[in-house]
Amino acid sequence: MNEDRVESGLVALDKMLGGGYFRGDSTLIAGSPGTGKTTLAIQFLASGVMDDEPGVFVTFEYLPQQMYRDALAKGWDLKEWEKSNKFRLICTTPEVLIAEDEKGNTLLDEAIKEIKAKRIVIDSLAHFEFLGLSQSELRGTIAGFMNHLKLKEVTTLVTHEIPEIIGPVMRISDFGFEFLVDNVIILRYVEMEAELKKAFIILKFRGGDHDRKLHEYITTKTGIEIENPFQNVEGITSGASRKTATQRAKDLI
Amino acid sequence: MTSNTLITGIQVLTAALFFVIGGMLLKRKAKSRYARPTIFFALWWVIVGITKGKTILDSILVEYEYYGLHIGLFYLNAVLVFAGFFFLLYYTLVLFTGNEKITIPFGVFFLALLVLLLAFVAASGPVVITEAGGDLAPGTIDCEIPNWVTTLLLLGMLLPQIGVCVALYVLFFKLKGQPTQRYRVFLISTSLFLWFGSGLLVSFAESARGSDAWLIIKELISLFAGMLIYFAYNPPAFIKKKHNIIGLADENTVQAVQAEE
Repeated sequence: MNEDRVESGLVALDKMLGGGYFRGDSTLIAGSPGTGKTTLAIQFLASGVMDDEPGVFVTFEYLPQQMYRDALAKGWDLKEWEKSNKFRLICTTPEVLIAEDEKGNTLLDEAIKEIKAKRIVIDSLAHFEFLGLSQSELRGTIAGFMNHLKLKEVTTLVTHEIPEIIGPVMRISDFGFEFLVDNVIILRYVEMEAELKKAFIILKFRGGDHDRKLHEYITTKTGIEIENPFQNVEGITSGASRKTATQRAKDLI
Repeated sequence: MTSNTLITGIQVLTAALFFVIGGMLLKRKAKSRYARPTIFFALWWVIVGITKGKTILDSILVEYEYYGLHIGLFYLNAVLVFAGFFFLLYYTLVLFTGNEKITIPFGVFFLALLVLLLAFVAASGPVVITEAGGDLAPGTIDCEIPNWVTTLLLLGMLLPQIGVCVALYVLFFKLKGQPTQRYRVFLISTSLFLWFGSGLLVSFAESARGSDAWLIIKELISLFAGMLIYFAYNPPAFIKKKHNIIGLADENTVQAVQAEE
């Protein structure tokens, strides 16, 4: 197994993962709308740009101008990265992305080859559901796609939307995407004393130990910042957290 | 000084102490979301003071051989005791679960028990004992309640309160790094144990009629229980200093300053 680690772009997350993602592994970032999945993914690529590890961002949702504008607002000049061959932006559809040419190469393969990409982001996996495949076919397609990327020795982040804004999340996807990747990170809203906060949860990290605490995180002008773990609070994964008795004791005893 | 005077003296002190504690807790600057359980907890101690006051009033009325108020006071006391039990349980449940709705079934349960008690007492035609020398002391309400009702009432009233005491003791062991809360919860749970325990001594006291020692011990335990609660919120200076514990007055001052900021 590859013990080489890849920085996530967040010092706190690297610490939680024991040094970063394993090189060549795939990570699913699942979360409700607005939780910062895309931001976290770009931070991962930005870290690669700094470390001379070019990256490709595949989006099924954004138009190029939108991507450039939103990223620039957070201080990431994607156009500049592209000029220096450290980045490629692919705005496409899942059908086009997985379609192979006569040599068996895909659009993504070309981009990887072109800039010698080491990091890939797919935003988001949910769009594969629109391929109109059956559950088993879709699962097979995604599994094949993830294995294909693994063979390319790229470290991959894939995002996926969880429709529930708040409340318990019973499953990440109907298609079992979480079983096809090495790691799973969940970004979610939690209600805490009439305030909406965000929780950063590492659900699964294959091959290594990780921080199992639920951390609060905030989205700033420069990206996601993971803060300290929630203290003396229970029920965070249910979406409606509450203080523990020991915490309430401060106010009630 | 006769033993009766001594007992009444201790009872007056105990009642006064519980009123002071209740008043002190009612003035507590609680966070708005915990206002209700905080008030209920304070009211529980006020009710404890009132029930002690009722016992004193009963004794005074017996002394003056006036029995016209005893039955009314009995009904009023029953209502207050059940309300008090609910308030205490409400406070504990909110402390442990943070959920106020969970207390509703308990409220219904206590209300049903109260109605059951009052219905059976009223239906049996209660009589106030006015003559000394029988099995029952003057001022006692004599009424016929079936054994199963008595058992149900005792279990329904005692079990939740024993649960409250045990739960608070458990919390004591979980409160690490919170010396003030740890100190308070220990004294509160011990005080509650003593309070309910002193109630059980009534049976000893009654069975040992003729020896007032049991009654004096019972009243002293009640007084001690009150002192524990008082010191829980007003710790002596040496305890404050040695164990880094703050009193309710310090807490209110800090909160007032924070509110101004």
